This record gives sequence, C-alpha cells and structure tokens, in this order.
Amino acid sequence: MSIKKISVNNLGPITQGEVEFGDLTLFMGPQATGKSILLQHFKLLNDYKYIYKYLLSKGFSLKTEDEFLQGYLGENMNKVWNKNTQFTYTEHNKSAQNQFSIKSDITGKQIRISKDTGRSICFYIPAQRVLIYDPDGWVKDFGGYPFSYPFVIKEFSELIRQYITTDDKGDLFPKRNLKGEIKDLIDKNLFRGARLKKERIAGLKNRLVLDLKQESGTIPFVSWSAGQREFIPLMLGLYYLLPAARSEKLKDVDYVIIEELEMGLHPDAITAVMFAIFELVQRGYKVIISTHSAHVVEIVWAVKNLLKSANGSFVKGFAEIFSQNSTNGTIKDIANKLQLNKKSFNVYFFNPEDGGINIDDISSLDTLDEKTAGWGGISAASAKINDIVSRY
Amino acid sequence: MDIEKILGVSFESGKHGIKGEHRSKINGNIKKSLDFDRTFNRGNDNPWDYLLESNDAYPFVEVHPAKSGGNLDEVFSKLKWMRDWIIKHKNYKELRKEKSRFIWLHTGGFNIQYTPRDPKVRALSSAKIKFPPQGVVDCDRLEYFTLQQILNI
Repeated sequence: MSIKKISVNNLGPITQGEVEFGDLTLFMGPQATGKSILLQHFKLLNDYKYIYKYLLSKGFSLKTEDEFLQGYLGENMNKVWNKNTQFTYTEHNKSAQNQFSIKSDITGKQIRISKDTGRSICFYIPAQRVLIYDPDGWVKDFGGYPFSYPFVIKEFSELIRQYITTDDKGDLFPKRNLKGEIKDLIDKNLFRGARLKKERIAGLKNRLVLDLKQESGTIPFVSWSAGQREFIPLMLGLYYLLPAARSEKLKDVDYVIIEELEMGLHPDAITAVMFAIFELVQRGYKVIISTHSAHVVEIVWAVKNLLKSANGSFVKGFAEIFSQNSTNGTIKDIANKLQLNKKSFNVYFFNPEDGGINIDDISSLDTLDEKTAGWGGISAASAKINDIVSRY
Repeated sequence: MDIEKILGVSFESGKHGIKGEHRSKINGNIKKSLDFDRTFNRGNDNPWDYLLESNDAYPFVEVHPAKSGGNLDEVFSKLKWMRDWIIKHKNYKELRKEKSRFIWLHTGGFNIQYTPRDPKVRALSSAKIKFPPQGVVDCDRLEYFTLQQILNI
C-alpha cells in the first residue's frame, strides 16, 4: 500500500488537517503541534503489518489498541487516539477514501504472520537519532532501548547497526554511495578532512571514530562536535538509501521521513544535506521533512521559483544554490530530472491558532499572499525584528 | 497583442511619459513610456510610477525613497497592488504573457536596515526586483520574464 493523501481529525493535538504528499513535502510549525505524531502515523498507515510483526517478534503484547499504540509510539502515547479520532487515506492511483483505525485494521483483525508479512516502505530518520550511540560509540540494536521508547528510533538504530556491521568497504566517510559533489560539500562543511571509521577497542568490540590524520590518534564520538554527532546517523541513513551499486533506489522503500533535518547544523551544512535530499528525490524517493529551519524552507522556495524558469536558467540557479558549476554533469542530471519529471514540492503548516492545531496547505510559499508569506511562522520573527529596527 | 490595445491607453513616444526629473535615471532604448500612476491612480490606489516599452518588453519603474523600513513596506504594498490590478484586468490573459520587470529606483541613496529573512524582502526577490534598489537603470541590460512568472499568477 502506498498512500498519497491523508485526512485526520482529533489526533493528539491536531484538530483537523488534510495532507497530500508531493515528491518533497515539508512539515512546519511550532513545537508540540503534532508533526511527529502525524509522521509516525503516516509510517504506521504504510507499514502496519511489518510493524505489527516486528513488535510481536520483540516480545510486545499487542492485544488491545492501547497496547499496540504504546508499543509503537512509546509509553503513554496511546492517549493521542480518542473516541473522536478519525483517520482516512487515499492510495496512489485510486480515488476511494478509506478509514483507518488501530482496532479495525490491526488489533481487531487477525494479521497472518509469515516470513514475507509486510514490507517497510517508509524509512524513518527520527529526531532522536543522536540516541543511537551506545556508551562505547557503536550503534545500539532494537533491544538496546527500553520498551517505552518509540518504535521509529529503535527501528532506525537497528537498520543502521546492521548496515555498518555488514559494510566492509573501507571508511564510512568518505564513501562512494554519495556523488562526488555531495561528498565534497559534506566534507567541506562537516568533516573538514576527517574520516569516519570503525575501530576495534582492545580487539573486542567495534566503535565509530573520526580520524583527523593527526598524530593524536582517533577521536571517539563523545568528543565529536554536536553537529557531527547529529549528522552522522543522518548520513548513515542516506548511505542506506543510496546504494553504491547500479540500482537507483531501494526497491521496497518509497518514502523517506526525516525529522528536523537541520539539527545541530550550520546553514552551509544544511545546504549540503539539502543537496543530498534533491538527489533522493530525483532517484524516485518521496521525501518528507519536518523542520524549524528558515534555511531549509528558503532552499525549497528558491527551487520552486526557479522551476518555473527555462531549463537553462533553472540548471544555473540550482547549481548556484549549492555553489556548483552548472556545466557539471551531476548537477545537470539532478536538475534536469527534477524539472523534466515535474517533481512536486508541498508544504504544510501546523497552525496553532483557533484553540487547536489545524494543518494549513502553504505549498505556494507565495510571499505576496498574507496566508503563506509568513512561511508557517518561520518568517514572522525576522519581520518583527525588521519592524522594530525600522521604527526606533 | 499591442500593449496599448491591451491596456486601452496611449503611451507617449520615447521618454516623454516620464517626469523630467526622472528621465536621467532611466537609460537604454525606450520606445514608449506611460505615466502609469497618473493614468491609473484614482486617488487611493497604489500603482507603480511608469510603464515603459523597451526591447519588446514592458518594464514597470517606481522611483521611491529607500531611507527606512517604511519605504520597503510601501514598495511591497505597491507590488501587491500591481499584482491585484493585473489579475483583475479585463485583458489579464494577454497581459500576463507580456515580458516585464519591476524596477525600484531609489531617490537620494539607500539606507534601510533589514534582515534578508523578512518576507517582504523575499517577496521582492521572488518578483525579481533588485534589492537593495539602485539609483539608475539601463533597460537594455535587463533580463525580462513574463508577468506570469514574475508575479506567480
């Protein structure tokens, strides 16, 4: 099942909203407005058979709605559903709206379990990704977390652990999964020549280290910069999605969800990561990002604007955003595919006005329209500062 | 379709539609010009000063101070007014296809403190308006776009 549109009423703090997913979709809004809850439910909708099977295999009791919701969302998060919660969805290439509920689709139904039950089509990179490191600097497995933690962090951690455990192709950064231009931008803005490696501690156990090529030896994760600690799990997630082999994308994965992409990153590093995001989009993934970063929205706004230009101008503008030369083959390839394949960019604002949270479609990001010019409150603070400086 | 027919008004030849004190600020091959503000302002309206014909395009020019954030608000309002006016125009479908630019020429220098993240500054960039504004313009050196593209209409 691949979902193109969802509609929710009374889910956690969300009063009501309708979201149609584009090739790149942004969720914006202040803290605690339900962005993460909705993203986790979007994954649930797409992957519930897989999630059910996974949780069962890890020893969770899933007999009631409350048990299932706590197993999936985390301790006490079952309360985001109440008697007035409604959740509907429309699949790609279909027009029917279908109801979804935990009871009728999961716990009240006998989901048959076999080795092929359910595939995960949503790859979820959670906001708490910095939690994946164990005290030695390796990556925790699913069972390395308390029962009360959300499924999405445990699943992400497990997938990354498996990836780096089986990867035996040299350093973890730089690596050829990333195109040279993206790799160079990431190196310039995040690693500054350092290499990410696996290192054996006392011949017993692996850990992740940065090798600065200095005589002082390698640097364990506790001494990395905050930005590096936040970014490395995200980068490993990108490796997972960008196989170095011939295939463009992972066959099973349609959606990539990234919470708070900007965490710990300087705007130049955000630009580098956004370059990789457009690479994911042109490869055919549909990417959903929640963000508080004006810079992320600025890049999407710029690309949306430039897409209206003739192809030559679009390629030049796109290249300049990422400080690249427009004659470069990789840039041309990514830009051409974005424009020729008419990739869509949708933006939603979790609007806390009117006593609840409504989800507003602000995809136009139209700066001349009052409803969209504030970019979901992200610009309001700057406008206020300008106004104060202009008055006093 | 000819711009005079689309708008139902006659332009003046060369720079004759531009006030004398502003003519030296507008350079390049100006075939025709119209005092747009005088022609379409019914009192409380907010149009740009001039509409020109130059190099098969129709740039709008606003000669406006750039001394404070208030001036930025004013030009932003004028841009919004222009977009509404174009959208409501009876020949909107033809008009939006014409090539154009919006040009803000400052009077007496630029002195606005601003952060680039202000949505009004973004609105100007989105409409391809050079900001900070300039003192003079050479219409022969401008790249032109359709009004549809400039104003997202």
